[in-house]
Amino acid sequence: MKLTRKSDGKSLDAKIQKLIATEFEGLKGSPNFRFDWSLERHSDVYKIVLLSDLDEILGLIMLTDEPSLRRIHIELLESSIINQGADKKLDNIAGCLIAFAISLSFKVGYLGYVSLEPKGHLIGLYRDKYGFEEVSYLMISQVPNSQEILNKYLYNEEE
Amino acid sequence: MKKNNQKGKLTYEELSKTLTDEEIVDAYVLPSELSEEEKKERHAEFKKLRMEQLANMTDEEMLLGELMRMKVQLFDYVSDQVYAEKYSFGNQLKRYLKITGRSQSKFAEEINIHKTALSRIINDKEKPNTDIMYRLEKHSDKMIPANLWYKVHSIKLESEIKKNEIDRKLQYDKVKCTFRLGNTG
Repeated sequence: MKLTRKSDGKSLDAKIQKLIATEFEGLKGSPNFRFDWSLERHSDVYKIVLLSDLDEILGLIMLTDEPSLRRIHIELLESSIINQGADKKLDNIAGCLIAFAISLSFKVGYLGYVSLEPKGHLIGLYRDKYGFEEVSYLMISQVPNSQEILNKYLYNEEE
Repeated sequence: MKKNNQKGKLTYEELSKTLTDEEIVDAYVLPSELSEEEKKERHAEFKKLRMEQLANMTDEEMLLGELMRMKVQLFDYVSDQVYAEKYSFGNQLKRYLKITGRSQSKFAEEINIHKTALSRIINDKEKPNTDIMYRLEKHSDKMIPANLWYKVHSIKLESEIKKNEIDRKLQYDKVKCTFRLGNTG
């Protein structure tokens, strides 16, 4: 997968890995994130890093697998603070993390079904940016939208 | 920025002091702020809708989902770069036929290849060429690109080339001169 460096538009290779126990400790008090991710050590949390700099965590996502509903739920997602806002350094961090959640959903046989709980003000934006649709109080992605997200953010096969 | 120690304490309201809505969506999925009671009630509603949706899933959705599952697994496989017989070109082509509900003879007809040749490729008795990879890409409506099939097959080729001592010796014996630093002859 690729992230885009805003300063020159260059594509940079990235990967997503599961956070290990010692890494949670390192996130305690981290100035790079607003959430205290060290508190989520008992959850499934994944990080995104550049292949050229495996030590810097660029974004984090916490997922819940719910087999009875055949879904992967995105509990939390955060790009690092320097990659937020108008002056962000890298683009597509959240998109790649969401695409990763979708790839997991396909892998375990949930056919790409992923949900998140949006704040009311943001529903239209999640729809516009990622193609999520409302179901009850959640927003979900499923085929064929999930396929498009994967192709765009993970496989760089945008039409 | 003040550090918040509990999820949910960092709210949309607080983030919106420094980020626009677009910037929040670009960087966050925020945690739930529902009470346990609210969550329970709304979850029950969602569950009902989800179970209905699962019961009404169309064959097309299932097919698309299974093909995407195959694609995701193939991408992981080529990323790992370790040969596994399960992921040989032939076995994955067999898998593709099963997902798409094609018999070998029908599929051979659809991609305009002799069914004997197809059978040999599926049974890993014959190496696939790029022609068939392009045809597979077209047949899957570009869902599984030719270069992905190529990478899958390349992993096996690499594994074979590493292990094939017989051919290695055969070809070594044909080399009359070995380049060595300092050898000007």
